[in-house]
Amino acid sequence: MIAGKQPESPAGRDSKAQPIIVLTRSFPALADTVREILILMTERLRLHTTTDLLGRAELVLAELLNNVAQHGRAHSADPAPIVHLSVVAQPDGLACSVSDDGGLLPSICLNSPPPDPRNDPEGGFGWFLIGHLTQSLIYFREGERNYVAFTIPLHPSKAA
Amino acid sequence: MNLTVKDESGQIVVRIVERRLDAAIAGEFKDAVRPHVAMRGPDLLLDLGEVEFLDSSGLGAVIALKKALPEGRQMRLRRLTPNVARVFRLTRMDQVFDIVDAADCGKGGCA
Repeated sequence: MIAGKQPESPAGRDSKAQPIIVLTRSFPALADTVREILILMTERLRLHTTTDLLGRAELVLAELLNNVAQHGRAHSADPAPIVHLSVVAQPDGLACSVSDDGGLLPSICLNSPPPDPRNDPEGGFGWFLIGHLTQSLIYFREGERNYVAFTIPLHPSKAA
Repeated sequence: MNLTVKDESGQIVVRIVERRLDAAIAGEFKDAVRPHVAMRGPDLLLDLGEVEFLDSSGLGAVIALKKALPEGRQMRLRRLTPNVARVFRLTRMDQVFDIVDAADCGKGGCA
């Protein structure tokens, strides 16, 4: 079983679930490109996973990639950061890695509390959603690149 | 940015005819809907039934529209699809917005 879906013809496949690389792509972090990549990813993922996991994965990656698009450069005139995205379907969920050559990710992002709805916040939701919907998230910076890797579980422990 | 605006038994229904309300379209969405929101008038119903995907930029735009309402005017949301409802629930914005379920649309239906 790969990320919640049985293979269509189990007899024809190895019974041990092998990770399947769903998508690996490099692209500029621009809102329109991010949208195209997410649409491509959901088309690929549909074959390998449940609707619920698909929805959570698309949301997490949208938040992460749009964050790079919006904050990855100090000056908006500079060329967009180049992102490398890899998504692998596993029996227990989706393993994702994202790297980009944008600016340093502020550490506060990684421990984002939920915004207080009483204050009518318009932003600050992105990293909270990423933290809530992922497991085993790691971040490091090496050379001029940010690296983020995490799993989106098939069966979330927190309400999702 | 595709949307329709119509008067439906005394309230203005703004229907978003887009499958994605995301960072690529959030600014355009806000600019397109704000003129229908910012003036005085009957209460508003934002119909999100076509929207299959919403991210935090889209959510921020919906919140900004709510804030643009003049004193005394209300905006409700209806027909949230599962992915859209999840974003409202996780961010607890479902406590801030008046969300009408599909079943509550009345005799006229929600189409």
